[in-house]
Amino acid sequence: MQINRNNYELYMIDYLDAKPNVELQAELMLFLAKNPDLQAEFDLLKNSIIADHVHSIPFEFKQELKKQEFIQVSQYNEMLVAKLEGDLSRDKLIKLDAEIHNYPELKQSFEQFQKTKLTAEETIVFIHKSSLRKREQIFDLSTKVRMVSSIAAAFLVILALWFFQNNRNESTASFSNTIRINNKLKKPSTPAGNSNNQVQTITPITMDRIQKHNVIITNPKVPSLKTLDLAVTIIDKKEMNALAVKLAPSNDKEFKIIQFAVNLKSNKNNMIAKNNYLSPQQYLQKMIDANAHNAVVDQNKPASANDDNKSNIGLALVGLFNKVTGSDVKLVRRYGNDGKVTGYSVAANTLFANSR
Amino acid sequence: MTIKEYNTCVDLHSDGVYRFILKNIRDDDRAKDIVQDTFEKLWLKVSSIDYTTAKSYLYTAAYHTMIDAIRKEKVSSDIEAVEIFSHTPSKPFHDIKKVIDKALSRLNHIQRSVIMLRDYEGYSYDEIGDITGLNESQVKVYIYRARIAMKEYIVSIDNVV
Repeated sequence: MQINRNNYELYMIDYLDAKPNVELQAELMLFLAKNPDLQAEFDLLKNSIIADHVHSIPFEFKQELKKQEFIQVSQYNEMLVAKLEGDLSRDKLIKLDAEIHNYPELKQSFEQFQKTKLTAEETIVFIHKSSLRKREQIFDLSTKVRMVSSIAAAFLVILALWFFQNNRNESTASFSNTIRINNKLKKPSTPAGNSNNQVQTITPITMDRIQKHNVIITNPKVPSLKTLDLAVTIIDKKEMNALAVKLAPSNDKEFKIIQFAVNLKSNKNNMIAKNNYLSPQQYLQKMIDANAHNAVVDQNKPASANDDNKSNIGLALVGLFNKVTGSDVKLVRRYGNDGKVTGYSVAANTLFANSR
Repeated sequence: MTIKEYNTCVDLHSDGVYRFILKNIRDDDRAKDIVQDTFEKLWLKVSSIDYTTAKSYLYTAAYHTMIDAIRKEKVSSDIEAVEIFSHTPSKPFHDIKKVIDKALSRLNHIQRSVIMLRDYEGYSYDEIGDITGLNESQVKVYIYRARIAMKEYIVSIDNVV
C-alpha cells in the first residue's frame, strides 16, 4: 500500500502506537518531506501520547472505591462443619482457610461452630462402679490362704459341734450312720455309688475311721461343683465320703458358707488325684503358717509376746482339730541358729495320709 | 473376655457411658439404671464378647437401652421449649458451658447421641453408625444438623446477652 494524502493518518497512528518497521518509517518521513503542510498535524499527534512514567503513578484510594464482595456465610456452613470434623482434604482446607482469613464474618462463623464442640466433663463419674464389678475367680495367694483359713475354722467349728453332739450319745448308742447337713441329707436308701455328687447320706468321719482308713483334706475339684469357688473337704478315703465347705459369694463384701456332703465314689479319680490334696499335717501346717504370717505383731511388745501370739493361733487351730477328730497333733516350735523362733510345725505320729 | 477384663471395662467405660446417658436424658436415676442394665448385658455375654470390642458393645447397648427408655416415657420437647422462651435478658447466660448444655439439650436424641459419641468418645462416622444403627451418610447429616442447630442457639443467646 502506498502512502498518500488519503491514508496518511493511518500511517501516522501506526507509527506512534505500533512502532512500524524501518521501511514504513522511512516511507512516512519521505511523505512528510514531500507534504510539509502535514508536518504540523504529525507533531500534534506525536505530543498527545502520554509519557510512560505517567502509568506508574498509582491512585491511592482504590480500596475506598472498591465494594465489598458479598459472601453468603451460610453457604460455607457445610465446609466449616467439615473443617471442624477434620473431613476436608488438604487442598480444600487451604482454600477455606484463605477465605476465612479474608472474610471476618466467615471467621466468626467458624468460631461459633467451634463452640459447639463438646468436651467431656470429667467431674461426672459413675460412683457405683463397685456394683458393676464381678468377683474374679483367681485370688492372690494371700487372699486364698486367708479364705481357706476362715473356711477351715468354720468347718472345724461345725465338726466340733457335731462331734460334741455325738459324744454325748456315744455311751448309750452306736454312731448313727448318717449326719444331716442343711437338712438335705437323705437316709441311705440307695447305694452310695449310684449317685454322683448329690447331697446324700454319708458315713460320718470319726476318730475310728481316721485311724483305720486315713483321712485327707483337699481342695476338691469335682466337675459338677462348678459354682464352687473355694472349698475344703475332709475325705474318708475308704468310704469316699466327704464333708465339704463351700464358699460362695453373696455380694461384694460378704461370703456365705454352704456346707454339703458328697459321695465321691464315682469321682474318686478326680477327687483325690495326686497334687490335689493335703494331708492333715500339711493342711494344718499351711493354716498355721498363714495365720502366723497374718498375726498382728505389736512392736511395743517384746518378741516373745508376739511369738506367743503366733503360737496361740496355731495352738488354737491344732486344738480344735484334735478336739474334732480325737487326734493328737502337736504344735512344735522351730528355732533358728540364734535361738529365735522361726516358725511352727505340726507333729503328728498317728495321722498320716498316704498318696494313693 | 475374662472377668478381669470385664472389671477393667467397668473402670474404663462406666464413667463415659454414664455421661453419655446422663447428658442425653438428664435424669440421674434413670441414667444409673441404664448403666446398670448396660453392664448387665455385657456380663451376660462376657464369654462371647472380645475385650477389644467391649467399649463399642457398651455404647451400643447403652444407646438402645436409652432409646427404649425414651420411647417408654417419651420426653416432652414442649417443656424444653417453654423453658427456653422463658429466658430473658435479665438472666443472661454467663457460662458458655451452660449455654452449650442447653443447646445440646434442644437437639433431638439422635442428633444429641451422634454428636456426643463424636465429641466425647471420638468415634468415626462408621463406628457411630454401628452403635446407632444409622449409615455413615446419615450420621454425617445428623452431625451437620446438630452443629448448625447448636450454633444457631449459641448465636441467639449471644445476641440476647
